[in-house]
This record gives sequence, C-alpha cells and structure tokens, in this order.
Amino acid sequence: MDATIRDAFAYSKVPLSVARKAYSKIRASTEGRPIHAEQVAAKGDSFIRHHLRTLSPYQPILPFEVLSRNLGRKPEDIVKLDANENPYGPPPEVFEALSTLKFPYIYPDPETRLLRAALAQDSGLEIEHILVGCGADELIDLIMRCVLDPGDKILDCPPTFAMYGFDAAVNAASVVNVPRRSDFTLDIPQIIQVVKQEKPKCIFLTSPNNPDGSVINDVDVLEILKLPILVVLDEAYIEFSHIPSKMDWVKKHENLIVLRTFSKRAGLAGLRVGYGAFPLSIIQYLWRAKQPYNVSVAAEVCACAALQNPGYLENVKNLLLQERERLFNLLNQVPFLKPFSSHSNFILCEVTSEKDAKKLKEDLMQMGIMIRHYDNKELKGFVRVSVGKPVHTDALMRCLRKLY
Amino acid sequence: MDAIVAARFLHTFSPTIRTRTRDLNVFRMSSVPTPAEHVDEDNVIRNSPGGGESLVRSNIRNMSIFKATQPIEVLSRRLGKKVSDIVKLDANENPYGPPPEVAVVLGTLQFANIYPDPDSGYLRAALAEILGVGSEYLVVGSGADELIRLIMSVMLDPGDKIVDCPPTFPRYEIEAALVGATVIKVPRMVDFSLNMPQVIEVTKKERPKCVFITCPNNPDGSMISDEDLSKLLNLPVMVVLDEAYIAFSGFKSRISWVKRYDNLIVLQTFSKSCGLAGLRVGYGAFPLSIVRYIWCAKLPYNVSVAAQAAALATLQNPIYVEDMRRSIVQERERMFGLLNEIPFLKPFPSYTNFILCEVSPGLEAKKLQEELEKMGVMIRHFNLSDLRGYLRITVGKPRDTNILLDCLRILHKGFPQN
Repeated sequence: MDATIRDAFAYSKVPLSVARKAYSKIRASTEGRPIHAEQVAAKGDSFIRHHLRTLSPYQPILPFEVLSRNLGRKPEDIVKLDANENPYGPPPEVFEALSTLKFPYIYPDPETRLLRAALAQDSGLEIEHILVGCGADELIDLIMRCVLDPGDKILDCPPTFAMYGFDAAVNAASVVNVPRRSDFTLDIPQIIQVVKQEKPKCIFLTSPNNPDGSVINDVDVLEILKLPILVVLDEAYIEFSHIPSKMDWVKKHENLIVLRTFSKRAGLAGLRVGYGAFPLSIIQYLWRAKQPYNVSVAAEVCACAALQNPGYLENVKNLLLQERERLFNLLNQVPFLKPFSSHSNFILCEVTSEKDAKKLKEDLMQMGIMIRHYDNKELKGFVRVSVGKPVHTDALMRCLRKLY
Repeated sequence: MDAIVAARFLHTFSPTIRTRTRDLNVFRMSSVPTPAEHVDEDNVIRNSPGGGESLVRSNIRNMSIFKATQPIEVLSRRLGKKVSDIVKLDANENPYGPPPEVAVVLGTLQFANIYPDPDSGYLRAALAEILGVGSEYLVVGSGADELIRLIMSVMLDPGDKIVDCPPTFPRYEIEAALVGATVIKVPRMVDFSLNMPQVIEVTKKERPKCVFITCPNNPDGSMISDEDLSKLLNLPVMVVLDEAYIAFSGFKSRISWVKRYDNLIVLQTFSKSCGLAGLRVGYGAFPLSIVRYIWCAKLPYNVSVAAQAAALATLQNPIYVEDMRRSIVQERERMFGLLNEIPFLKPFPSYTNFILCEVSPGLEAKKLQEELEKMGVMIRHFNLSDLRGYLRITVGKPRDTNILLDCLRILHKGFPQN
C-alpha cells in the first residue's frame, strides 16, 4: 500500500519544474480574474489552482484486504514488508482502551492534553514544545502551510521520504534537490551552497533516512542548523537507531523542528498519531493553523495506552533490532542483493547482476511477500525490505531462494 | 438567587446590544478573521521579537487562535463536577453515541499497525449505496473540516476571494485566512435567510472562487431553498454546500445534485447524526472534474483505520441511527416549546439538532452561559458582530432538557421583576 502510493507521488513523477513554470506564468496572466462565467457550465476544473493541474493524477491503490483477495490469500497470510510497519502491533492496552472509549460522540481535545503530557514525560521535553498531529504527515503539511508562500522553495535530499516533495507540490512550492552521495550521506558543501544561492525556506532531513537507514551525524546537523533555514528533522525511525532523539535541541535552536511518530515503534500506523517538537517562537503559529479536532479520540487514547506499557515497546524494539541483524546477514548471502547496513526497521538492497528490481518485487508478490522497489532518478534498481518477525524473514528467504 | 447575582445578568453596556446590528446593504472584506467570539483574547499569543517566527508566513502570523470546545474531562475538573453530571449542550454533539457495533469493531481492530486504506474504499462503497451517488464522486476526510481545508488548498491562490454568509460556521473564514484568501462577507438577513441579491451582485462584481453555504445553517438552523440554491449554481462560482446537519432537517440532501452541477460540492459528516464526532469522519461529493484534484492533494493516510471501521459499523445499523435521529428531532420540538415559555429567551425554529435563542434586552448572553456552566450545563453564547446576544443550545436527551430548563427557571427567579 505504502509502496504503491509513494510510487505515485515519487518526486521523479511529480513534474515540479513544469509546475513551477506553469505557476509563474499563470500568476502573471490571471491577476484578479480567476474564472470566467462561460467556463463554469462546462468545466469544474477551471476552479482548480493551476499548479495542481500539472500534478500526476492520483493512482487508486488496492487496500490490503482486496490485494490479499486478489492474491488468493488471507490478509494474515500475506507477509507485508513493504511499508515499514511494525508486525507486532501495539500493546494489548490499546485494544482495551479502544473497546471502552467513553465518548466517541464528543469532539476530541483540540490541545491533545493527555497525550502531550504523557509525551512530555516520555521525552523529557516540556509540554509547551509539543504538538500532536494526525500522523507526522499532517505536521509536515502544516509546517509547509505555515512557512511556504507559493513560489517559495524547500531543500530536499533524495533519495528520501517522498512526502516532502509531494506536500511542497501541493503547496505550490518548488523543490531544490541536493541528492545524497552514493553512500547516502548528505552532501553538506552542496547544501550550504544551495542554501546561499537559492534561499530555500526549509530543509527536510530524515534520520535515520528512509529508504537506506543511515543516520545523520551531529556535526552535520549542527552545520546545517547554522544556515538561515528552517530545519525539519524527521525522526520517524529514531527508536531503531543507537542515537537519542534530538527533540530537546528545539530549546537551543530556533530553526529546528523534530518530528516523531507512533506509526513505527508503537505499531499504530493505522491510528494516525505523530508529534513534533518545536521552538516556542514557531509552535504558536502551528496552533493557529492546526485544525482544532485533528487528532481523534481513538488516536489519543491509543497513543496514551501504548506509552503506558514501555516494557512492551522496548521488547518489540529489541526483537526488531535482533531480526534486522539476522535479516541483513541472510540478505547478504543472496547472490543478486547487496544490503546496506541500517539503523532503522528496514533494509535497502541494491539489486545486482541482471535482475530487475521491479520484476523481483512482482515475483515476490505472487508468492505473497510484499516489498518495495525503487525505480527513479536517484535510486534505480533497489528494493527495500521492512524488518518483520523471524517467521516473515524465513518466508522471504524461502521465496528468494526460489529465484536463484 | 440573590439580587447581587441577578444584577450580574443586567447588561451594563450599549442598549443596542440586543438587536443584530448588521448593515445589510454593505458587504465587508477581510483577509483574516476579525477578533470575534471564537477568538479567546486571553489565549492570543503575542509576537515576541526575534526567534523562529521570522520563518512564518505573514498571513499565518496575523491569524487569531480559534477557541474550540473544551474536552469534557477538562470541564469536569474545572467545574469540580463528575463527568456524568455535566450536561454538554455546547457543541451539537449527539448524546446517544454510535451503535454498539462500533465498540466491538474498535476493540477487535485487526490491523492497527497497518496504514489505513488511502481510498477509504469500503466506506465509500457503503456510502454510495445510501447516498445515491457513485463512489467515484466521494472522498472521505478526517472530519468535514479536513475537506474544507482541502477544497480551499486546491482552489484558492493567495489573494483569491471566497463569499461567506455570516452568522455561520466560522471554519470557512479561518481556513481562508490560512491560505491567504480574502473573505467577502454577505451577512444573512434578520431571519437568517441568505441575502440573495447581495450574494449575486458580489459574485458578479468581485469574482470570488467559492461560496460556502451551511444548510441547515449553524447556528440558527435555517435551510436554503431549492430555488435559491439553483440561483447560486447558475453563478460562475463554486458552491460548497455544507450539510453537516441535514439528517435532522427532514429534507432531502442535495448530494445527488453534484452529478448535474459541475460547480457544486456537498459535504456531510458522521459527527452529528451518527454520533462519531470523536472519531473524525466526514465526506464530500464532488463533481468528477474536481474530485481528481482532491485525490491528488489529499494526504494519503488521512482517515484512520479506527475511523473507517467505526463509520462502516455505524452504517450497518441504520435502524439505530434512525431511532436516534427521531429521538433528537422529537426532543428538539419539545425543547423548543419549553424554551419558548422562558420569558427571557426567544427560540428560533430549527431544522437541526440545536436551537438558537435570542436573549431578552437587558440580559447578557455571556453571563447566562457562565451561570449555566456553574450549574454544570454547557451551552454556547454568541457575541459576534453578526450575532450579539444569542445562545445556541444543542438538543440532548430528555433528561438534559429537563436539567437545562430547571436551571433556566432558577435563573429566572433570580431576575428583578419589572
């Protein structure tokens, strides 16, 4: 699911340069006259902002249940290693909380007080720096809405999470890419130069990075924080790395935002809960722009319930880390795969020899194994495998062996 | 109540406070929400010099903070009352809650750890069967609120205009400020009907991109006629018809009109008639020429698995939902009659699950609201330029009405008699 939609929105397919050009042309030509009466009867899309008309059309995707039916398997029999989900799911307290929701008919707390208090305790950062979103996705969108005027630029370091480019396109901003080096480290000199030259408003950094799993070292983060740019550090996978979160850095750096999520470590991808740490000078505006009821009562109680069982979360994390090492070693033995060492809950592999990454993904899908493949400018001929349970690794390896 | 308490109700400011002081001939424009009732002045954070705010867009810096409702747990702590002793009639919520199936599906969610279906496919299919429009016209959102934001971000460039007809749901104005659009206000008439000549004139002259109409309207509960809606649809403007409360109206939804009109969007929600405000599920029907752009711009995982499952489970028990709706409509009629007997209130007939009341001259709506709150009864008061001296009371269970009326009678006894 994740795979297909990310493909649909991959930066390579969003013609940002076209959107950019179209946008500035349109700006010049439509001052004050957005629509004409005679167009209305015929075409509803005359109401659509011009930069959006050049976006690739949405490709509907199959929900997990439908996909499994098409493959002739039960959903629970599919080995789903394509979206970096946590196969252990949330602790049992979550289901207990869901089945006894007292007020599903009352609007949620606009300030998500209970969860923010729990997060403050969990992170050691004061509650007034913390804001919760409907997934970190919503916060990425919210940050852009607050920071970017149409025509503004963001700096993106692909290959990375595709939502930054997607959200920028929706918000009529343009994307300046500074690709990562071949070992996936950041090209700091290039970033410094581009910031000076292009004056982007913000830079998005994922650490550990998706899809390769590398972390950004402190020296590099500090170097970037010195620049006149808002730094959004996406720590969706930080719990799987050996480095501590930088949430408390937002107290020292007025241009830093740190994003985290319950989707990965807490196994709550379906519930949509992400959160961010913000400098006080910025968070006040996010409160104004945030929709009041963005986090559902279900999301809030689930996240709180998950935090109440830190032992479970720690245990699940350790299981995944252990399995990541085993999976890495096993993938390393596959003749046509070259895995990259990862600080996350997934492993990126280069598909070597004459094997085709897309074909590999499709062959595995026919056998009931879902993985993600990459075929874009920055990453051609790669697959990404999420770390599952040992039984999932075993099934994957069995199927891979059939292919050589 | 003693005379001192009663005196607090006597409003001491301008004697014109009671009449709706709206200039019906002039429309006003603003690109940011005016400091109005929904803005809690105490909570507006002032800019501090230096720091990260220089990174924030100027239209966002000029926005005010929306004062949303308080969660019931916070209220109970503040009022020193048990949650079960609070009568919550301030947010048009449905006190019956969703059918029992919802708790069952939530407690047995199979894939909490898997990302939700970006298409909300099952839910849209189920809705299509009920609504009489194909699922290809439908998009589900995290509440209708999300769809309002999405519509604006798909249609409005900074500087574009929308038409808003206050008093109405304040979200349109707030979301417009967020995208940097200008709001042209065409206030409703004293009977809360639309000022059609003015809307038509403004639309022709100012070329707004969208007009937002709530039907039935919040906070008064009035409907727009087919004739007026058709007139709007003949204008070169996108009409967004917000039918959040349509189930309580007894009128047919206009949702199927989107098949005929390329400039109509109809929004509905599970928050009101289905009792799922906490779960965040709304949906919209869009012309096909528009819907594809909504899909393009929508965040992929906007509707949680819990929200999709809860909404589906609710649709599976239509009898429960219909019973609930009937109880609320019945209670609305009873409450209207009872409010009408309260000497200092003038209720307006409503097609929704709330009743707007004008407060008699000499009394302050805000004080009334505060006194009721002390007694554990939450209602909403309005002190807007478009609506001054009004209360809005959500229709609850019969017990809620009885408690409210008891409290109102106690308050009345405390008033000085003329």
